Amino acid sequence: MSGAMTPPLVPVTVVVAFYSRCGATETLALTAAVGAVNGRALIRMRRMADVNPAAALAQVSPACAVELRRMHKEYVPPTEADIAGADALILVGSDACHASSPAWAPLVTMLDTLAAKRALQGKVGAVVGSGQTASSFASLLAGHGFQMVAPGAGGPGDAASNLAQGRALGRLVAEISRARKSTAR
Amino acid sequence: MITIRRSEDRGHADRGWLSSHFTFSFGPYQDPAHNGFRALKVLNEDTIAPGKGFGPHSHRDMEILTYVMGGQLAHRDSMGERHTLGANEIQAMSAGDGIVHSEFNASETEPAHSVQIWIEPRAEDLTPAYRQFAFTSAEKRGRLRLLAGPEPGGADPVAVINQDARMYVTELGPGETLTHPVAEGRHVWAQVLRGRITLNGHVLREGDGAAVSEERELALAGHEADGEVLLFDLA
Repeated sequence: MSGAMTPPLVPVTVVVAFYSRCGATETLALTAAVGAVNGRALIRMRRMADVNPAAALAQVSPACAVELRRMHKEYVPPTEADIAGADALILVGSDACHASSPAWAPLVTMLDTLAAKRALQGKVGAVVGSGQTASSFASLLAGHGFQMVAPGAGGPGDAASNLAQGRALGRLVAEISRARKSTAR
Repeated sequence: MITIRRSEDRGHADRGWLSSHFTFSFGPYQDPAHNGFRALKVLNEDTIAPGKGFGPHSHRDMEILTYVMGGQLAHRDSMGERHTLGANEIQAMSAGDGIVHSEFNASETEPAHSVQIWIEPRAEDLTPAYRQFAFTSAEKRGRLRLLAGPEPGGADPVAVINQDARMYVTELGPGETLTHPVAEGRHVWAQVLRGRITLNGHVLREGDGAAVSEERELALAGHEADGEVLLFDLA
């Protein structure tokens, strides 16, 4: 026996924030979270709250309403403490939303507040999504000082490749966050 | 050698919607004298209020077994598994290199009462897996029904876990007895879920556990109707 011990990993926490009504974007968020867990991160899954939950339920199909009611029960929205305490933030949005959508407004306010307190310095950011959604979220995070991690090559693909990309990105975010934190120590 | 862990000596936490008794160190309860037994790391008895539960959270490198004593749990995970788990069913989840799951009381009116068990896997970074099966009350009556182990069962299904550990359940009525041989070098943890039993002459009540080492046979006897015991045979 050499007696050499593997040093304990630097702990990192990744917040995965998403907005979903029918569960498809939630699945993508779960996959990104699993990727972060693969990268040995602690995760916090946070769903952006509906501005008007009852109205949101009335607007979706009966099948989506089942999922929406479940998500209302299972998730809480992100708090300032969640984001301030995290090493990385991954935003997951559907093609139907963007950073200025009403559901995301509380997060924008939170980021403004935390940036003013210089509480976002050194944090890693990433976006799971495509097209306008991805670019608007990436601009939001980069504009608040996050060090952005780019997803792998490829735009919108089939569901399986999107999930694989989301998972790979989650893992990469965990690994980059750990590397940055280790260097900073 | 049999060392008894009395029910009242377990850790306890009450979060309003969740009442937990911790046989071993877990979460808010930390006791260096009770950091698991062999590969058995966690044995929590939880009562979850109607409609409440654990939102999506992650696990890694752990074999997680859930046994429901009353009510039903709704499970959902990142592998796409969505199930309801009730009495006389076993759920075994290999977290492997990472899973995210939620578990809620499936009822809006009745509490759910369950035991969650964590067993350390034989290796890290394994492939996540989910297994669940039901069995009848008769299968555990007066005999040890193997619920989880390292190999699949024969006629009776067994949840395969990634550890040299076996989990059995039995229900013993008054006067009913059974024996379990313990191979050399093996250890056993017995946990009484309901009622009262005798284990090699030691009386164990509801919530009591017992660590067994250097014994070659276990003799269990029932004292009350439907005394129910989980038994873990461990390397």
